[in-house]
Amino acid sequence: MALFLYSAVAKLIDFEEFSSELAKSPFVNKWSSFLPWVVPVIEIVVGLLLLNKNTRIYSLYSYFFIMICFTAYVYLMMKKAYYLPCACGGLIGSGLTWNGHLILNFIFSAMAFIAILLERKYQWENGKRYLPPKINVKMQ
Amino acid sequence: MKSKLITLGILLAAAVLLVIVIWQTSDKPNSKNNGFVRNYIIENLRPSLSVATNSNIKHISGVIGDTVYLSTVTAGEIAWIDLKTRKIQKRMFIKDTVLLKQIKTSNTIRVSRNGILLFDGNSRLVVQVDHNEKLYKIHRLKDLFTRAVPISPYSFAMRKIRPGEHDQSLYRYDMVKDTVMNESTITEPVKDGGLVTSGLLNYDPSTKLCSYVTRYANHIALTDTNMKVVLKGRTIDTTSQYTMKTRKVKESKGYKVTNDGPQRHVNKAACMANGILYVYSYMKADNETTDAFANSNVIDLYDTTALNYLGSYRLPAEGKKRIRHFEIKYGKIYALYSNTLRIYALPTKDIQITN
Repeated sequence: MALFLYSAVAKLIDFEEFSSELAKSPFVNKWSSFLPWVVPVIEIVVGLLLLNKNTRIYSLYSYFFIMICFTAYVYLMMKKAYYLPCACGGLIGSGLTWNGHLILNFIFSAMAFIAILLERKYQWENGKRYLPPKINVKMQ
Repeated sequence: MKSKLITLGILLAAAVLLVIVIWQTSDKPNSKNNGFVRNYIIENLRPSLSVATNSNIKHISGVIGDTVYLSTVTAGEIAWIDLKTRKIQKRMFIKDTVLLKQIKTSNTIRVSRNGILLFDGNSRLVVQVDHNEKLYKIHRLKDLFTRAVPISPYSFAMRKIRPGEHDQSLYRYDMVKDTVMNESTITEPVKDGGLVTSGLLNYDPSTKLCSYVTRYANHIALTDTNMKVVLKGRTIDTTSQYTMKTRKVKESKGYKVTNDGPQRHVNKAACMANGILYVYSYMKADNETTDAFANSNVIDLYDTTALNYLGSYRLPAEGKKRIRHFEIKYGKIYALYSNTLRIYALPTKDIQITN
């Protein structure tokens, strides 16, 4: 949650720089007029949804969706792009190649997948989503 | 279990579909025809030698005999490769710690038999060092400069900010008198600090000509050593309008000018040797497929007597690895990639120069 909120706040504080960087991307350039607002809002919503255990599952679904988007983007760039720009930067640092990014994104997607399975199983075991069957005790 | 798998499956499909839609509608470079064709002199130029470098290497600083000099990300350091042993070595050619702190990583280095010249436009510094690492002279310039190339042992050509204006011109700098002279405005005034008209500055000692090839359009200008324009022309692609726009972004101290859209390189690197201008092009010709061009590094050749297109070389790019910098010397192409230096022997057959 801290990661999502930190990332969103950092973008909003340096909004002009973030807008400028998004405009430079050939992939999302056409949407650079509204994306600078949409991305931090999504990050804030996803981060806040993690706070409540009733809404946590939706945050995990959102995270899974975002990670699949990133994975698909990296794959398309590797297969179809004319040239591959530097894959450096971000939290991971400059040591990753495009292949490395693809593998890492896939791992994060898999982690989100597993977290979703565990989260629902936990709720199910605690009867949040599915009520346990009633047991009739006949008093004699 | 079934319902959650269905939900995950729907999300997976939706995410992939969204990315594909954005990809298809994005402005991809070289996805359409560019209005010109290429004639290949050599279609599959393979390296005669490959030497591993590392990610600290920035560009080729010079070639003398069997030694290739390379600049690194460490200020004041020069690396070199002995092509016989294929070993890479490095040393600090500037040891003055006070001076080293002033030099930024964006500096460029040129090595010749006369010594080493370090150009740091952001710090407004030019440092001359001889091959015995004796610090010869430090030149402190008044204005920022973005390009510099030696044109004699005592002078260099440079592209620098025009005093009082938000644009750049070519000048000659005399290192003996420490004076700037011979202003030459060879690019259009855009008032963006010279960003859109940014280009590649080179010198050919055999013809005593300087060339300036713009990165984001097909403009070429040749000047003599006094920066007087002798010839103007275009690369073979049809991109006469600049492919980049700029905008001002606020910073803590004032503002900076940066590109307001994806960088669309037309010409990525250039070099001159023996009366031929070699330009590493990022523009696909109409007789090339997008896939084939994406897996190639294409160098177009122009004669410097009339800037006629002579033909092209195609260097296969395994894994879409792009040339970062290249030099032509001793009948060879010395091409620097991210982690490799590759040397290609130029074809020996004569290139037809027609007027």
